[in-house]
Amino acid sequence: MNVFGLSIRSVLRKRAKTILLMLIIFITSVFIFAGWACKSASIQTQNESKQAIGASFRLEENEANRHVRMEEFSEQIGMGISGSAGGYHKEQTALGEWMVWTDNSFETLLMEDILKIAEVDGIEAYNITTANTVVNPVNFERIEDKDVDQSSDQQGVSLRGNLCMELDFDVQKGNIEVNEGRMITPEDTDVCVISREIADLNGLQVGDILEFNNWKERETSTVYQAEVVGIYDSVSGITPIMYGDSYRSENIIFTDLSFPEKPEGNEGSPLYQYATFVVENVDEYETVKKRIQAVDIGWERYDFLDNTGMSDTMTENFGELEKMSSLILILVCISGIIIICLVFLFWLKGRGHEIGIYLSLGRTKYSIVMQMLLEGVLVGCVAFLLAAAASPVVSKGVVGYLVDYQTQLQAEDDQLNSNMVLNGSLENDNTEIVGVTVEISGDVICLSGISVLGIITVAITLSCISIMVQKPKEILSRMS
Amino acid sequence: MLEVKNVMYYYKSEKDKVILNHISYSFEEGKMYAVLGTSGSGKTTLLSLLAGLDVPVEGEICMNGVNIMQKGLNGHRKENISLVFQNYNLIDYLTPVENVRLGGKEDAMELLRSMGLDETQSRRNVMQLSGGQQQRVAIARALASNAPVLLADEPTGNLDEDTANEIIDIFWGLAHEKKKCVIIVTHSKELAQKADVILTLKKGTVVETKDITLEEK
Repeated sequence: MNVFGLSIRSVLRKRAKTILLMLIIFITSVFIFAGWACKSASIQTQNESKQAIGASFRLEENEANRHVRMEEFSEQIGMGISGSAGGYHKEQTALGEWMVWTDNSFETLLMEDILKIAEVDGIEAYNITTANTVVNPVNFERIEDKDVDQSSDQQGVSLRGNLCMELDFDVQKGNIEVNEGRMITPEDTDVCVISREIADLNGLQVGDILEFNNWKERETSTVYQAEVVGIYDSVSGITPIMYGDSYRSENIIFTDLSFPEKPEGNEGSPLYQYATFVVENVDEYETVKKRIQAVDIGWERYDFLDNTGMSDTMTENFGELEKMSSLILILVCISGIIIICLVFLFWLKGRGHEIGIYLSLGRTKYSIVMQMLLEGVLVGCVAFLLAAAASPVVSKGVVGYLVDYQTQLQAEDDQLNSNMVLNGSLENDNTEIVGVTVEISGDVICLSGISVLGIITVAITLSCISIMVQKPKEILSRMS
Repeated sequence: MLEVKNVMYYYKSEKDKVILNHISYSFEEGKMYAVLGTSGSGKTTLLSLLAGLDVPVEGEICMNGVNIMQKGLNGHRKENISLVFQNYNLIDYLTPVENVRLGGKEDAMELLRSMGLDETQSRRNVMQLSGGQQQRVAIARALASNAPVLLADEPTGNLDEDTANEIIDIFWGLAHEKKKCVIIVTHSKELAQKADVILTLKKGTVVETKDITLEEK
């Protein structure tokens, strides 16, 4: 009778021990499933203040991933070393303090990713919008509140570049209207659309040339020119992103996509803040959404918002969730090894008689250990299949619990910090979690299977050391 | 056939307490040997050394003139030795047929039949058999390997007198009809009387050897 035949008989005929082991492996497997599922779960959040307009989608940088990348690049440069990596820079000042900053190449949405999404079947048009870039107005005056101290302001205007101005968020939403001249098109270069207020203040008309340069080096930096092709009227105003007159609605000047980087002094290194994709057929909105989500880009870098403000966020971008799921995995693996080890030690102790008989029959210790291992794997297979069936429910419960916990921590943190913020975004970050999707994918099953097999192998091998170190006579002498 | 050459054995933790003190003896095929002695005289240790379950501190055990260490103790146990114990030592989750198959490739059912077990008994759980039946299964398993040496440690210790006599007859038959070398460790003088040769151990040495076959001659 071979090792497999003996293992099968032992597992089937020693039912109480089999059920006990199966129960332990089942519980361990379920938590391992949950751990791996947590790592790849996606959390649907909704932010009413950030959403695409109509039948379109909006791509933005994910803030949590930004911090992750900063940490990665910092580690890449090395602890206590000044240097740059991937647009992340750190430098020690003469006073010994550390200065950390990022450039446009770090912050921007990647053009290749935008283009991949734009090529998706069902996308009719797309727009790219740059971050608001403060520059110095060289040959005109900006709108300014005379009663406010301007010493902390950059004393500039904001440039907002668009590939296709018609698709700009504020134009689409009807916050502004271009009533004189025209909007900017993808073919335009070095053009701008200014507010009615700036035009009136400076007596500007369509066709005039405006000059801009770097607000930090007003006297020395290169001056760039842009032709006024349109004048917009504010309907309900543009919500400023920061305090200060540089960002006020009237001082926002729309330009072509590649203009803002020039007076800023970063020509060739744009800062694309978000991209908008318009769906051709409204009825296919959800289908197109799925097609876009299937595009092979580094999604963890982005938030992808639909017209309801819904965003699918990967867990690794959701606070400490990925770290917590890693911790769960490590804890479950270690406790699994210890518990299965103890169960097998207890089991082997009761099987000393059987092991002695096998040794007296001339079987090698190696073949006996193989039988024990095979028994563990057989029981483990059944337990794993049962765990796979139960894992979607348990995984969702575990992820839900962790998300709630994270949200609660975040809320407490926000409350603590609320009185400490002096200057920040005017937009309320009213992101709310509307759903958690835990998919038990093939990868999750494979990783869980490998983990469970590893735990069983390690635990049984460790517990079988007691067999390997004993002489056959010692085992047999305990039999009598 | 199976030879003990100047074997000495003691536990490494108790070097001053010698279990076997330079004993030598040659066991032959076709004979039934009984090893007698009081508790602690070294009977079971001798059996363990013969079975290759342990190794002597000094001296050597030879099978057909070759030191058993040369071939490896697992190989020696598998090919040359069959063991029968007082408490039968059957695998509790296997049937008698399956237990016998562990011993070797011989026809398990045929062997069990020759030991007096019918088909129904042979397919039951081994723990449902009586002590005598279990010992017969253990002997059948020992025979399945077709090993030339059969070692038995108190094989009738747990059996009633009638069953014990039947088992002894089986051993006798194996020695004389199957030409095996049967070595039985026992306390029972009655069993010993049926053996061809009686070895008596005392304080680790063979104090008396009584060859009944020679006496009869």
